[in-house]
Amino acid sequence: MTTNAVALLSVENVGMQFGGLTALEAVSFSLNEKKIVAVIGPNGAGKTTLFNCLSGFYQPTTGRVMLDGRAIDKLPSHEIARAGLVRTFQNIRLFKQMTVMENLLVAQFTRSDNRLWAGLLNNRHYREKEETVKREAIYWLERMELTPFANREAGNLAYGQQRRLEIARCMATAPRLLLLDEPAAGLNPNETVALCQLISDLRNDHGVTILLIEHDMSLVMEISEEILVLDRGRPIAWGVPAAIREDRAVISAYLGEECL
Amino acid sequence: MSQFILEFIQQIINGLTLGSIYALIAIGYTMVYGIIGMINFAHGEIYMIGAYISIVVIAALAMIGITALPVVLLLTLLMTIIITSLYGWSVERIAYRPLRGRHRLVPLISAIGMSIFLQNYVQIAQGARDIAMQPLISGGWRFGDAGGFQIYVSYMQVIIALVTLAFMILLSLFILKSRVGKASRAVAQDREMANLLGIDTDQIISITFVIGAALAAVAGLLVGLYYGIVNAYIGFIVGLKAFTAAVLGGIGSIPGAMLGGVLLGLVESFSSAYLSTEYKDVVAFSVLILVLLFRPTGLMGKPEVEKV
Repeated sequence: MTTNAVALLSVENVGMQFGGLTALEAVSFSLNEKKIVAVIGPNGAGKTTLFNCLSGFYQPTTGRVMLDGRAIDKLPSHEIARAGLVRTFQNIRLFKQMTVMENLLVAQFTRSDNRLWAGLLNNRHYREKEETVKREAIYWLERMELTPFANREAGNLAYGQQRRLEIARCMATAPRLLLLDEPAAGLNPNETVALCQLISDLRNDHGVTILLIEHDMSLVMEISEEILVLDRGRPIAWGVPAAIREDRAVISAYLGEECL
Repeated sequence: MSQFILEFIQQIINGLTLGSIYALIAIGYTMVYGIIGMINFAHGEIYMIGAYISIVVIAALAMIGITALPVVLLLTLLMTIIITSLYGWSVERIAYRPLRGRHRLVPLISAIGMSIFLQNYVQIAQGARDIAMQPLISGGWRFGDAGGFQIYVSYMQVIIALVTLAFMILLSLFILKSRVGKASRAVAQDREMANLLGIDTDQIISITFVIGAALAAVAGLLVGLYYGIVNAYIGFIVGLKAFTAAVLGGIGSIPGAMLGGVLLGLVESFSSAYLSTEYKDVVAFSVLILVLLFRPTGLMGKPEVEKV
């Protein structure tokens, strides 16, 4: 595992219990800036639970989560998002009855002027901020090839477009760390290839660090620089794709002891 | 024109007046339901408090010598909205926020408790008897033959309709265009997701209660000026009617609450005129039962999507 003083995210001994059930136990790792890292593991390994702990959806029962040197595990979700960590969901969760444009605008809620009165007074400072917010939304519409659908209700988009909008909405918050929960789920092979390209472009062009859960192994092996493997709530391996592919513990977790 | 048509037009005017009041209050029910999925049964009391506050403010203005009618009305409107909103905000902080995430029945019972508390609080503070308010605006227009039936439109009725219309337009613009309005729609659709994108959902919920209370305050002021009599219990029946209006329009839908309020006002006005005044409540609540039986999503509501 990488230990580095300037790690963007460091997860220290995080555990999550639901009553008597241990969903996560002693998970530690750290992520450097501008990395693309995948979390893999058999069903029920605790991957989504880990995401829930990081994004404030759950509060981990033990351990600490540090984002850029600041503990975030006790913060409410909106403050974690404001600190620069946002996520997507396995099942897409757009604001379906709002337009594509509105989805991108509302994601910038914290960036536009925070004072209630500013909107009523409509002063110059407020208008400038609103302009910036609108420009940012237009940028993401273009970037994700969603411009023709800007005024359509998000729920009416095709599945692949909804996936792209969900990622765009996260990016509109200007995150430092983006968590993607099975971004390729339900995409066809062509769309998956495009997604691969998109993920590495986001990292290269926008400097965002990406942590993703994925079952599509070809995608995982192609884009991730490092891989964390979870099994039954515990981390069992961490390393570059080539090493993970050969790792006996990983193979046994996926295929069972007797296949070795 | 025949007498029948004239009477019919009169009932429409009366119904629109009443319906405007219901619509203003119904919005508070529907917005709170839309955002946290609970019925705020103390909302009728917020309206009642709005009526009381407007009386106190008018009396206080008279005491300090402000009597110019437009100034009095504007200041009263402003003060009533501000103070009533504070009540709405406090009710949410005290009675609902600590119970968030609990079973649905828990905040419901808390709301009923809050409603009883507010009724008694007003009785202790202002006395249990009816309070009469001096009519500030009287008079109106008459249309029709001097001998036969005349349509009567009071100035107050026109004011109620115009003020309601103005606030409806303001609210719609706010919800559709403003940053906070967009955030509140996002929170209503998926509270967790909105939170994960950096929106402080507690803040948005507070704002929702404040908006609901502000509109109820406007209704309270208008009713005070129109009927001239208030007591601590006026919130109960009007609250239930406004709730009926919200359900009729489709609970959770703001345009639905506006439409439902106006329709219910018309239904009540017509049933008072053509059936019997005693049956107007029966008719209004029969509407509630029929809607719940045959179209539980209301006129403009969308079918409930199970939240994940």
